[in-house]
Amino acid sequence: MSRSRRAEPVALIPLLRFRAVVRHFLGYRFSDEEVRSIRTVLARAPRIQGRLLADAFVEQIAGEPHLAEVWYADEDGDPLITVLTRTFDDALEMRLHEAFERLVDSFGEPRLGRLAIHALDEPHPAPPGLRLFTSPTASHATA
Amino acid sequence: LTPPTAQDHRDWAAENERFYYDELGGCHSSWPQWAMPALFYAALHELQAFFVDCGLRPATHKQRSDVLRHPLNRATLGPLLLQRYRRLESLSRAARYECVVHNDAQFTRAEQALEDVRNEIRRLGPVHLVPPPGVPLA
Repeated sequence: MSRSRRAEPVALIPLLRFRAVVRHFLGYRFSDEEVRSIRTVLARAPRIQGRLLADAFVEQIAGEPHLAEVWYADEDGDPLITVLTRTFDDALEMRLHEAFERLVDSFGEPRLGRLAIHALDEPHPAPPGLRLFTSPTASHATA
Repeated sequence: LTPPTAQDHRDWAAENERFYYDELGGCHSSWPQWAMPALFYAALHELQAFFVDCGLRPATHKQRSDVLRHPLNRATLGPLLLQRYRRLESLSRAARYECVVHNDAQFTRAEQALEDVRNEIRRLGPVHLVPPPGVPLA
């Protein structure tokens, strides 16, 4: 029975990549038993990978200057990450896109999610979802 | 019916851009809710012409995004084309769905983004692109 359970296809994050991402960002190494449990959880709740992606993205960009807030929303199973910057910065926009695509690559799913970037001092839509990050130097930006 | 050629898409892009500048009035348009989408669809047809020249015919926004974001294609194309196209797509989406009225600086950056998309496509020329699953060949 356990043999057939292990053989079930799981169309989610390849586990080795998932392990590497978690180890890289959280410094924690999962045991084989824990990985099997995580696999079960992910198989039952595939949207978790979107939130994992968002959290890992926040980790990666938290030190960026001009960063104000990062928001996360689930768009029919695809994550939408909205970044609000204090002011528009061309180079920052490029770095954020590159960081996002690198991270998506590391998750092994090249079509995962969408990144939207807006400047707080310009007209922009209200970010949907949950605020994951507020820059300590941008407290004026938060309502 | 035959599918549109790369030149058909380029002509459509030029028409959208003409519509933006001549009919809508560019960045000082009285209809900003249409001005930003006009710029984006000019870029979309430039991109589609490029894809057809490269042997692909993506049919949806998602498929175009899939082609641009495929890791091997990103290595071929570099970061600028994807990033500028994303900028236009995001601004257009905000105008269409979120009732955002963009300011002059945003329109100026959008105009520049369209120019950058064109320049990047010209610089690259037809290249080999990997078709992601589900994307039709031209």
